[in-house]
Amino acid sequence: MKKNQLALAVLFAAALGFSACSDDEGVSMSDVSISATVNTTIEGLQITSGTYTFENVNTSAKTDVSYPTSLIQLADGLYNVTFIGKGTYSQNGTSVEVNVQGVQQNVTVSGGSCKLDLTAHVVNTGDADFVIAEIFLPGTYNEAGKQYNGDQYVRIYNNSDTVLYADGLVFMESQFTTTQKYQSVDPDIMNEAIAVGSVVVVPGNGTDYPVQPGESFIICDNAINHKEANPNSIDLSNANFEWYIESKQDVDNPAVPNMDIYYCYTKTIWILNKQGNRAYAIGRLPEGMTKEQYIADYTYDYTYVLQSGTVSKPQSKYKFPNEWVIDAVNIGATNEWQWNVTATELDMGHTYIGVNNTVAENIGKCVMRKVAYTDNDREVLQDTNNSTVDFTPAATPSLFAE
Amino acid sequence: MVCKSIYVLLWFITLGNVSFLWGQTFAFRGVVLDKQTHQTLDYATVQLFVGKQIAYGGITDANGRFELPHIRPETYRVVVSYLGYDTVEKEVKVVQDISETFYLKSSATALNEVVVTASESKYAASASIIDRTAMKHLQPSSFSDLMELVPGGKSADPQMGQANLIRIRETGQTSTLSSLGVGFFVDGVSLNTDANLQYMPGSTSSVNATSTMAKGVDMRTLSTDNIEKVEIIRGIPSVAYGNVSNGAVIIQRKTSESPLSARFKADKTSKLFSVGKGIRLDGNGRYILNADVNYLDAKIDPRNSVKNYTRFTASARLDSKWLWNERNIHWNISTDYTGSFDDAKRDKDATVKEDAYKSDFNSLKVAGKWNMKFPDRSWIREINLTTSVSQQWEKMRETKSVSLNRPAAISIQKEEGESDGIYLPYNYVAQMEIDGKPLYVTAAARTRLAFPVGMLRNETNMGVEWNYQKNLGEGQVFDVTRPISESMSTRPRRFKDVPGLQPFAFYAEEVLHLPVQSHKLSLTAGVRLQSLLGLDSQYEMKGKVYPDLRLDLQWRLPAFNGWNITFSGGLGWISRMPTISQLYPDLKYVDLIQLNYYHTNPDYRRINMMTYKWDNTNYQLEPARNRKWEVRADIGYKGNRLSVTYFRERMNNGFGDLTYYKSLAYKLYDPSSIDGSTLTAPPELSELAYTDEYNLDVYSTVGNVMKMEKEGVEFQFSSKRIELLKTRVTVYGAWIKNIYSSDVPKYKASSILLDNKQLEYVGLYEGEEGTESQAFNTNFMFDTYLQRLGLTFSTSLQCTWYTNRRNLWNDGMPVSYIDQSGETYPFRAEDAENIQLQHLVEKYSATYFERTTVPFYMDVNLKASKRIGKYLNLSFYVNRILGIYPDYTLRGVLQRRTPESPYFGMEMNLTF
Repeated sequence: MKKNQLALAVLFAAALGFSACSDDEGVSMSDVSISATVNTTIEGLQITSGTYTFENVNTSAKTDVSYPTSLIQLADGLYNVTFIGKGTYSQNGTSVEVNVQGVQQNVTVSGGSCKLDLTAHVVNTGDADFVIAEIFLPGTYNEAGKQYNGDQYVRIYNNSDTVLYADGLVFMESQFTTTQKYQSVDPDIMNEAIAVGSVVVVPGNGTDYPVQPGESFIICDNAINHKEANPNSIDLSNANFEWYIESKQDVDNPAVPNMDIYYCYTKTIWILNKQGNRAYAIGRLPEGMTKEQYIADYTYDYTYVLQSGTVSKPQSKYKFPNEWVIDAVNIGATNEWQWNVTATELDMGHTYIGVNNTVAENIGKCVMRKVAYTDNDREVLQDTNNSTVDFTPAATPSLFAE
Repeated sequence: MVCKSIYVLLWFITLGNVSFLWGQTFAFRGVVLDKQTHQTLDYATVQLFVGKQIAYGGITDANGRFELPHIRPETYRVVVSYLGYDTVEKEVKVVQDISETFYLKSSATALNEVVVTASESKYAASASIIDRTAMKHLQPSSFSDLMELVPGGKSADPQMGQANLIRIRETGQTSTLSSLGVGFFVDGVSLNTDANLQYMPGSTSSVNATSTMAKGVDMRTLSTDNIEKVEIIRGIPSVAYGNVSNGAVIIQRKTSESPLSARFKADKTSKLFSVGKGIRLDGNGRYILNADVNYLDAKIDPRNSVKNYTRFTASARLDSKWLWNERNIHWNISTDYTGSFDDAKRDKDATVKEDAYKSDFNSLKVAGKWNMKFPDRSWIREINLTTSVSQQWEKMRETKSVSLNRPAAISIQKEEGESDGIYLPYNYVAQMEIDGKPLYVTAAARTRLAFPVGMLRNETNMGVEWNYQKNLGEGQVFDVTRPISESMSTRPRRFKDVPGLQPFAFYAEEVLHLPVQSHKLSLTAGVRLQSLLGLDSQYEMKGKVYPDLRLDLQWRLPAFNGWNITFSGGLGWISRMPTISQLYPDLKYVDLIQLNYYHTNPDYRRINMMTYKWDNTNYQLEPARNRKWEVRADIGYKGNRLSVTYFRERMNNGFGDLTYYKSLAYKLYDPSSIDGSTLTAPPELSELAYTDEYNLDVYSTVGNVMKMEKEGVEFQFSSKRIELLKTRVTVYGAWIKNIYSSDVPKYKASSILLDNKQLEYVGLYEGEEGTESQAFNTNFMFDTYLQRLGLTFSTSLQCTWYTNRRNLWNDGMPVSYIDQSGETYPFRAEDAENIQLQHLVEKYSATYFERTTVPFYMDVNLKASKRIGKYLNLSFYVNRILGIYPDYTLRGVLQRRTPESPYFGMEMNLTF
């Protein structure tokens, strides 16, 4: 597994000229030289600024040193060192700035030398919450060599250090596709809300479905053992939730709770976009907002003009305000992607299943969020609201890896 | 020159000289021959004038001979006329029995004329006439290609992978009635398609693109090589042509003696071979047998060898003519075979090899025509009897390897009621076959009568027509447990069980010619009564007679200084009967899920459904009726001719989707009481609690709901051949406006899911929905004919000045809504805020109703043919050798257009 890690090797070299001790103070000061190397999974990330804070464990005296620094004076002793800084990387010619931080405890400074091995990682934006960890859309080949897409699933991960409840968590699929940019949309609400074609919600009264820190849950269309239909597929009968539409083309596993479908553009079966050219998001309704009020008040009626100048028929879908969104990811094949269908504040970038969006290339692959760092065995996933760097494209789905 | 219709004869009816003289009379006999070939000319008109008054008249027999007995001694001006030939006049003094030979010069050779475009009809109804020469120059693969020559038409690449439907006076959006409303009449017998039930329900392949069910004739199946002449009636056809609501295509095939000729054509996607000959069976040419075969093989996409279309036609027509007691008898029997085969397979390299479809059409037709023409002094002029029997074998077959994406269950219940569904296997090969065997029988009788009424020349045509159409096929044949699509709810249906139909018609037409000084006024007034026999009493049409009235008036000004001016106008109602598929639609099945319990253990699964079945027939269906009127001006000046037609058409009851709603009750079982871990068998329904639910949805059937309005101007100018350049200029085109709409109240159900359920309401909308399309185009054709070199060369500039379309305004508000109990409530303004009801409002933006216009573009086409030696003629064509498609701006966006690549072909004609 790849890690976002910034390893700083800081070398304390004893400076000469301390040979003449100042006789009675008992604490020797050394000139310590620091050099840092950056090692990161965000390609091309450069630390641009930052501050090391050396906190003496005994005296609590703090010494701030700004990055980059080569030489500082420190008293011998035991230190906790933290680094808080910024880094940049370049994306499509524009420079993106992220916060980085790292900590190393119990660093010994003695006789002008110490061994500092500080790992810095990219800091997630916002408070830690659920994140979309994995989206598996293209399905698999069945024995006949045909596409089988009943096994699509989405994994949602508790990226915080506290227990979170899945109850009421909203999952949605964007209405617009990332591979067809409209000349204009009237009204254009992208800066306020996501235009959505489906809104499904985890059931529960608020505390029915706890999710431990570092744990995830799976939602899918069909929580059944797909190996029965297709040996190349996976067993989803232990998925946490499924969505079921009362139709003879869908099946309902009674053992798996059904998601609450607030709205869906279709009344037959809802299949996630298997070409992977839409955006997906999770969110929560704010305090006081009920299902009834949402479906009454949040319709989105619009028309669009295609690049060709053709005007669409009137469309009526739903919208989901940006403030309610916890996490969003835009997916689009590299060669076909034209625009992001969510606001930039939700996702600055986009990820992809395949570069060319062919079935052969996409099949059996997912998009998967990277691990930023590990906190006592708990993996913290990277969430900088930029799916280009936060996700591993064309990844092997976790349920297939088992 | 221009081929005149056979009806030209009707204009030369004697006024019936009844003054009987006691004196001695003589016989005037003769023969009429082609000046060049010395072939005899049958049906030539011979008239004897005294001053301006016709005294005697007659028609030549099959051997070109005529005999007028009992001629008073006098000096006559004899006028011999024949269609396509220059009229000959001669002074003849009858003082004894005499015999004369008349040589007629073909008008075409007389004018050194080769017409490679359509010509406008000279009669009251607007029609395009396309003859052999034009077809030869066009180098068609099928009848579809001829439509380029009709005003408003332009060249189009062959689309051999799908049914080719005719479009007359159409642009933009169209409906299936456009083509269904055009009747094709081959040698006087209608090409009936009304028992066609070929379409494949549930198929997602393009097999249904070959379906012509309730769409009329597939022009791909008509080869052009045995056609002598085509008349495409755009205006109001005579009452003799019925069961049409748009126009009529009258095809006249070769019946005369002709040399053996063979044609090989190859173009970008197809190869064509045809051979034919008109053989004289006896010495004096009384019996002529025409036989021909034609083969076409087309690759739909030359890069893809697994999809192709093949057509094979064979025809034999025996024509015989003789004179019996001064009566000309003409007898014709023909037998025709047409085979049309669509075949598509998946790419050989694809992983799924099973997927394939075929769509076969075989037709065998035997027709007989018997015609007797009486001498001109008789009040009965002509009797015509026609019968035909046509049996077709149609088969659509699709093989599809179906792989499910998730478990799916189907109901195999054939009757209404509750039943457990069965789960389909995840992978299976589905096969479906649509077996149709339409049988068509026609019997028709027609007579032409003439009586003098004072000053008027008068003629009456009367006829009756009976058809029988029935499909004897096995129908939709498939294994219900292996459907071609898991969402399909169709059950097999035997076409044999579908009743047959018997359209019956009677018509009468009065033609009056009124000379007013040297003006000529002709009035044609006709009525056609149509009825559909054999219907069940539930049908509104049962026992009803639908009358169509058609009027034509033509006013021919006297010729002066080389000017020939004719004005005409017409008004008519024309009706199209519904087809078998429209009167007897498939039964409707709906399966509603009552319990969907998909246990991890396959043995404990249960899916229970409530099946509803009903008759989807609209018993109120009536014929679609179009009201047409048009005014025309035809101006000729020394071989140049301009004709302009302004037309309007309006149909208020065209066939379209008639919607209705149904609220179907079902039980929704609650599986939450089942403990999945203790089950030993599928759950018992009786132990489950359920709620009564309703499924409210909208369905559709065929109804008289479509409105059609057409308006336009058609024009054609053809110049005389400019001697210096040996070039003739033809300019033809049309401005056409079509509005297809419907304002019949329409039910609509939303397709969304809201709060886990379908909407509880359906809306009723009364606003007009539809589109207006316009197009204005002009083709400029320059054809050069160098007789000495045997070279014909033409350049056609096909300009589309603009096309545009707009959606008719509609506020999108329902007028009322219906709940699950079937109760109707008015839709109030505040309902647009209701959680559920807001989804019934269709919210349009202003731009949606804006007109979208595509401006000028032009294609340049070249055609050439060259005679080489005695036997060989070589031709080639390139369509779009040059395309001019200027950029334009649409809603602020620059639109770049590029012409498609040229389409080309060549052919070789051998004539021995």
